Amino acid sequence: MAITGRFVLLALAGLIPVMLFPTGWTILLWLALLAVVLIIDLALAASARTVRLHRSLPENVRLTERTEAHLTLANGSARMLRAQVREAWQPSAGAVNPRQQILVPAGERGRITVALLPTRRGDLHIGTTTIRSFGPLRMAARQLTVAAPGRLRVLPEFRSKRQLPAKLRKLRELDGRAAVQIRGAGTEFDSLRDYVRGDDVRSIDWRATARRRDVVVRTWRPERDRRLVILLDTSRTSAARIKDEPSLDTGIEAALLLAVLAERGGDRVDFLAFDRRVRARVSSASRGNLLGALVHAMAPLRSELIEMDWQQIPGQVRSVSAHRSLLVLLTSLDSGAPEEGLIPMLGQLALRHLVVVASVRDPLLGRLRIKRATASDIYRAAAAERALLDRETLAGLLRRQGVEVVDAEPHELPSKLADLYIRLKAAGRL
Amino acid sequence: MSGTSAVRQRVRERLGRHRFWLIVGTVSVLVTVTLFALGNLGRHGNGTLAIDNPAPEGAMAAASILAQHGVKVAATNSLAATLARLRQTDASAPTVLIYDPAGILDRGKIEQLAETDATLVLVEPGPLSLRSLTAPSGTAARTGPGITAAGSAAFPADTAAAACENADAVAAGSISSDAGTVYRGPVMCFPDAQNSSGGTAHGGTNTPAGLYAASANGRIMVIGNHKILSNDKLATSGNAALTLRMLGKNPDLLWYTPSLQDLPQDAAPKDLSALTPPWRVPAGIWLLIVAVLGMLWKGRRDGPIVTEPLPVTVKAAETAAGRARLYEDAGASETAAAVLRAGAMLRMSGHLRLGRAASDAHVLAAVARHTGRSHGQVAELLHTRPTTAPALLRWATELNTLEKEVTSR
Repeated sequence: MAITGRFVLLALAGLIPVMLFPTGWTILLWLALLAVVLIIDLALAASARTVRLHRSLPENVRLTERTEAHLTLANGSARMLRAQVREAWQPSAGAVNPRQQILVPAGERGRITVALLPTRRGDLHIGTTTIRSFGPLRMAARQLTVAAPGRLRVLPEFRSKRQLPAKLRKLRELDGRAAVQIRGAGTEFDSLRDYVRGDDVRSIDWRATARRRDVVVRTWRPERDRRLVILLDTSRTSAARIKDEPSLDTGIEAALLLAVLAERGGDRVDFLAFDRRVRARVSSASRGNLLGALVHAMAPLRSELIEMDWQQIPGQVRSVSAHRSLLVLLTSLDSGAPEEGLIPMLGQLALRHLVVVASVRDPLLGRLRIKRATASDIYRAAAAERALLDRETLAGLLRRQGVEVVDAEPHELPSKLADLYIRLKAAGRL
Repeated sequence: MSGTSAVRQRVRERLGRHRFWLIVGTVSVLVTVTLFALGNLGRHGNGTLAIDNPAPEGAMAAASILAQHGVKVAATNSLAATLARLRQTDASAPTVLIYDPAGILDRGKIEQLAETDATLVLVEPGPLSLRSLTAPSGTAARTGPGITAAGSAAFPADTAAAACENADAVAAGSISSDAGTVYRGPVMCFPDAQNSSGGTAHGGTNTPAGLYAASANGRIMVIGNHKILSNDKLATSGNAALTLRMLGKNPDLLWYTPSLQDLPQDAAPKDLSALTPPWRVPAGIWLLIVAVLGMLWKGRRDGPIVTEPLPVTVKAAETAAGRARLYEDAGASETAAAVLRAGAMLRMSGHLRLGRAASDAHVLAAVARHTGRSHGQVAELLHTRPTTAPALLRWATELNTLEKEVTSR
């Protein structure tokens, strides 16, 4: 049960008779009047128990995109349903209008549409719907909370999608280049074309030239069907928040761009999210759209507050790819964590695979390092410098083991990782 | 059939869901009711010398002993009631105990009491009350030679001996009293120490004065310390004997403690309600009701609170900030300078393409060449070890300038 503002106004109106006839009887009479109005209105309200709910939700939505959730109310009572319906979405669903008024005549259906603008990746839940059924006077309402569970999957935003065309163009430029520019161990024959000035004479295919009157050169294209394994660290270090984004989300962005790029580049992509056990696993070899499978697998990922188990990594990598692969580790290079797990394991991995370690660097450290106005600033600058030097040392250590390191700020990490991939592919190192 | 069972089921569910609050509510109601009942059961007065007050300063003991011995004890708190009682029991001339510490009774009222044929026992009466008793304006000279107050006296020995011929006082022998008012009258007993020793207290008169005084005919008795009657002191010395003999002379005893009801009407402060319109109280009550309804209107939640499963995030630069505070608290300016120097050297050598393995001397020489500064100047800057915070600040600024010079060219 609930009363409305109108009922309170009616009660307030009772002040006039009470002031005109200031006795206890006036108060009692007006109270009796209020009680009668309340009972009549409640008795004439449609029962919320007779309402059947049906919710239809979109399958999924990309983060920062608007979507709509529909709720159909079938009024099974013999009275008009005048209801305020409240959809109990969790706050990060960004429900614009979770409370709505609706009129449903007896035996008919009505539909409300709640606009949603999710603010967080993952599975958003709605547990209950509360129906407040008013009487014809709108003085009082019968209220009922019905369990009507629903789920909306919010997919990663994939902001770096904007960079995809440019990167693909770069990748395609590798195709059909004359051998001189990209000649290397890992290139394979693509096609023959007419010689143009500037081409390396060494790439002239004399046999083909002999068959034709023009000089013909061989062209090469990057190797295809190489293997790429992306391993996303979901352990405690991925909970680090840089600006407004956890480094896990930056890792997801980078992994998405790289995976899509590599798939278009003709390589086989495997994705693993791992801390002490596998949180998600996607392979481009399996059926269906890789991007769709990836975003679905990544949507529910969250930082687990446990330490990464680096011991298991070689085994996991072997289980997805038995051959030499490009192994991209999206993890943290903050001092402390990697020395114990990552570095001892990388030597072993680098023997079999080409390893890339990609890590997010906090731009705040760079700003702290430069600001030198007060004595406190200097100490802060020194601490930031220390952190950056530690990263630098660590990166140097990794590079000496033959590991490629991408250490970038959040907005450039996906792009830099993609560039590294293109560079490695151009050099035929895959 | 199924409808009623469904309703029963629903009620049971709801009871189950709110069980905790139902239990809490029931328990608190029970506790409140019990405390209220206990507080009101056998309710006791709390006034000094009230006959229903069992506390040390009450007089329940004296009253109940008298009642056990067949004296009808009745408490009154206004003159009108007392006089009405007196008229009822007129045949048997009752005793009236008057205890008026607040001095409520004025001359006229005491005269009214004196005009009756009741025996009056006054406990600690003031001089004015006594004057109106002994010199009545009207008819009666019935009280005979007056009793007058003779100031207060202390009893260092805590006892006072009878020292008179009065039968009550003799029966009591001695009474226990630490202090009190002493009186002069036709009969005087229990004089204070100075009087009994013939000293010259009380305004230079040598006339003796005592805690107990009575008129010649014994119809007016005055006792100078209320504690003699109290529960606390009743059992000590001859207090009980004196009290019970004084009060038990007649079969009826009126225990009169004047209250606010004895004050003249116009003397009482004007009630606020007389000054405000009549609808004030009802309108206030009504507004209170409306306020409660307003709270119910606004306070009713539409459905349960929805929780947000928040992911854990940690600010990434938190460790750097913590280390900065450690440096600062420890005043580790040399360590901080060393770190800053290492960073600057690394960046400068990177900019000058000296490679990672370049030694400090190489970098120094390259920097001096590049910036056009003298070698010694650069060396001095790079080898300074600031030990205080201000020196560190100055040095760090200079280092920053040097680094900018190198990297901007």
